[in-house]
Amino acid sequence: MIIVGFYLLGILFLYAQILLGGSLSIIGVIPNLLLGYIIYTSTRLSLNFSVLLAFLFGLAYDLTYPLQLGLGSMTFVLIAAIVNLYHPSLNKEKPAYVALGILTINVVYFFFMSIYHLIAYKYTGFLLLRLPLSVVYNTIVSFVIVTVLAFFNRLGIHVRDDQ
Amino acid sequence: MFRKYALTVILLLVSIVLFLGDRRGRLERADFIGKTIYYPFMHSIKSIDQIFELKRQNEMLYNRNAELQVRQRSLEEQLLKLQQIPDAATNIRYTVANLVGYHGDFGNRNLIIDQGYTAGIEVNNPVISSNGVVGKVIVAAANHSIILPLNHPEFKLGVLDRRSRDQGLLESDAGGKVSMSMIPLDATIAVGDTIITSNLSRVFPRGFPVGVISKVVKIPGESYQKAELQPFAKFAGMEQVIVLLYQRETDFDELPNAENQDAP
Repeated sequence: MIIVGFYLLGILFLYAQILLGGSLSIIGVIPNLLLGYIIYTSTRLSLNFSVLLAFLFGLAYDLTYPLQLGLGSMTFVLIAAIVNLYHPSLNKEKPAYVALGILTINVVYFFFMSIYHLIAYKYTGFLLLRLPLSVVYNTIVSFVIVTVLAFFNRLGIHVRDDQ
Repeated sequence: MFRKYALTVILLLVSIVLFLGDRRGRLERADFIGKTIYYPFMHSIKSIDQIFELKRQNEMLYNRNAELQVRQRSLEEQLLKLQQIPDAATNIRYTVANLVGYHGDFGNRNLIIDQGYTAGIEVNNPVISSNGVVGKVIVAAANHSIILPLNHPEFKLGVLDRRSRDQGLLESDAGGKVSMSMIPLDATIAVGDTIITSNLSRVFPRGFPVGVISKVVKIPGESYQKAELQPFAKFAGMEQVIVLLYQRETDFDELPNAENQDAP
């Protein structure tokens, strides 16, 4: 049943992303709320469920930006897999390590987004101006989301229910 | 090992397949997925978008409405100001005269000014002060004139309520109390309304301020109502008046008789 709960939570985050994302933007950088959700979900569910949810919500998010169809779902699946595989080795008792891990995930995410921008738009302005801000801002947002979700579930982010 | 990552690999491959191709291809695929598997999601997003669009339009219309209301109010004020200015105010010549004496008994008292026909003054010229209507010239001598003030019982003037546009006749009683009579019973005059000269006046141009309604009197059985006025012109202490060198052009007495015209 936990998968249903995470699915509903994902729907909540998806609509929050679409409805509230714009109002949370800073200098044109819209935070990706789903990224924090995917990271948290991948620490709680098995690999298959994690990547399945990541794919479903990544594809849904892509539909709102149809020109990058498949890119969001691909990066989300990759991130879900990476987090799911490597988060047990991270010392989650120390928030700095968790933040560092989330920063790494964000770098991966925006690495793919940057490649897309370079190929699709030949637009290097994104890399020079907005990429650093995007990474930092999204890292903060993702860290907050992961922490809040962990707090509300009264579970540490190192706990996995399915193991 | 492969089975563990099978789903991950499949989903990655599906994502790559979706991403491959040109922009048009991605748009078509996105359109197809949005109309099939993700129809409920896309439909809800469109509905939400429509709600936000309606909200935005509503706010825009609300603001536009507020702007128009402010604009309308401003225009109304400008219109009221313009209505205080006579139609041909810029074309009316005038002369300023000093009040030098009174003529007649108390209650029938007229005003004497130190300007006459040598200054261009003629009988029936309107006389005003800086506050409003004062009266009309009834005698124009060479170097002085006599003015019939509006609080004289013989003074009559066609007036109207500036707000409600109801017409009436200004007249005064022997005690100098000024009132507006012949007001239709369905008129919506009210205390505080400003009364101005109407187009029906044979002496004054339209739009000169006369006074303000201080009391509305409705007498049962009467077919008209009446309003007591407080004139703007202050006769006590008045030293100067302005004589408008103006004559109404229309001479109604010269109009052909309709009864005779219709006769064979």
